[in-house]
Amino acid sequence: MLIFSRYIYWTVGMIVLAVVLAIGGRAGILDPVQDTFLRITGPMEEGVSSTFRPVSNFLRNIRDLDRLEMENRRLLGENETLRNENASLRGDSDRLKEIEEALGYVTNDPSAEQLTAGVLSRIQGPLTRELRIDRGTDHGVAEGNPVLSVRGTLLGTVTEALPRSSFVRLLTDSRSSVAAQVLGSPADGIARGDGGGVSFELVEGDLNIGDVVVSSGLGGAYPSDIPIGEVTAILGDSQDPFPTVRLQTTVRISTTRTVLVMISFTSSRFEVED
Amino acid sequence: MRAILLGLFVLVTVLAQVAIAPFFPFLGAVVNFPAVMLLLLAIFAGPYSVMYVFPVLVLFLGFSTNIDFEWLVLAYLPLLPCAAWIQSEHRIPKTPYALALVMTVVAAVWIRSIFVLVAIGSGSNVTFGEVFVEILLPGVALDGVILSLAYGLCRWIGWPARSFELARVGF
Repeated sequence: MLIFSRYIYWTVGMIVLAVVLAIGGRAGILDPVQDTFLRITGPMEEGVSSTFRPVSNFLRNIRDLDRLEMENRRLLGENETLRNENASLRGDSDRLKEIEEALGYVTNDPSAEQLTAGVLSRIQGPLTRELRIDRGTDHGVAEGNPVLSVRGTLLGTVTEALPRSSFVRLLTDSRSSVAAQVLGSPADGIARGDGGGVSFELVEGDLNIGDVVVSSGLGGAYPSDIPIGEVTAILGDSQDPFPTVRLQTTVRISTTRTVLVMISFTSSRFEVED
Repeated sequence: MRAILLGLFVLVTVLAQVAIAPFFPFLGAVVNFPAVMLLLLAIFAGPYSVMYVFPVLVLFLGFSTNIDFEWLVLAYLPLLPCAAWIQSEHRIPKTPYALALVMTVVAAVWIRSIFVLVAIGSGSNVTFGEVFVEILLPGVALDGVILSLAYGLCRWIGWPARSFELARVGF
């Protein structure tokens, strides 16, 4: 009993500490301390990460050798097709620019205000996937800003912005969901993370393997027409009105080191559930 | 000096959790360095060391991972009293290593279950089967392997294993 009474004192002490820290955290009192801590440990994290990243990549590539070979063949073919498409689109783009200028059209592209940020660390827990980036409120980042890859694919959203760094909840985090639609089709639904990949819950319409899924903008949490991924598998019976659809994101999130934060976009409905 | 060393040990553990663990996932789980560290510290430095470093660990881990402090405390706090209870009341694991292994399994399941429940409370949609196969089982395996390697190394160096019970360490 003597042993447990002493453990009980310590346990009660730790619970009191937890309550104090929880209140401090909610009130934002600890934010400057957290920011200072992260500023000090950031370079150390980066150093350790850069040491272990090549080992991780090497092991992953060995495991994925067959898949990478197939992907390489597919990409070579896709590259050729895209080069051809690019050539014809360039001509269309020039013509469109001329028409826009002629009409006095002012583009309202939010990408005009995108902030480049470096990934400081990846935080992975059961079902959760987050990033910490090196830009914060001092640079204009706000909670609810969408975060894209350098090629413009949706990666996630800022959930907490500290003065000099921010936490980003990735699309693959099981708490993430985005109103989405199939590009060039009326089919829409919700893209959801599952702690490793992204699935698409079809609400209405049909889709096929290879279809590109983009954000629909419904709900106001994300801008519309941001690429999310490509349909790689449709699971379930063909009669199933709500099949499980797997999406392959066009960016390899686990190795992403630079991201874009859409600081010009403010979510009209932002609420982080803890 | 001892306090500084313990503080550095905690910092290294937290850095390992955010800068190394995510690179080596096994299915849906990554190794839980803080839990392994707490158990090793309890075994080789005694439970008092764990009592001192615990608040520092919670603070550093909360800052680095942005997980709320109350969940971290709920996840990691029961480990030490639970280990002492198993040791003093049941005495089933006869050797320190066996007790450490039993505690690793308990800790791996408990901590991940807490974080899964927090994630579910925040909107995650997973089945029990997925959690068991993708998170709990690989998590137990990863933590068990890391603890076994570290335990073997410490014993090879010659550090003696201690008791989890406070009375036996001279309180």
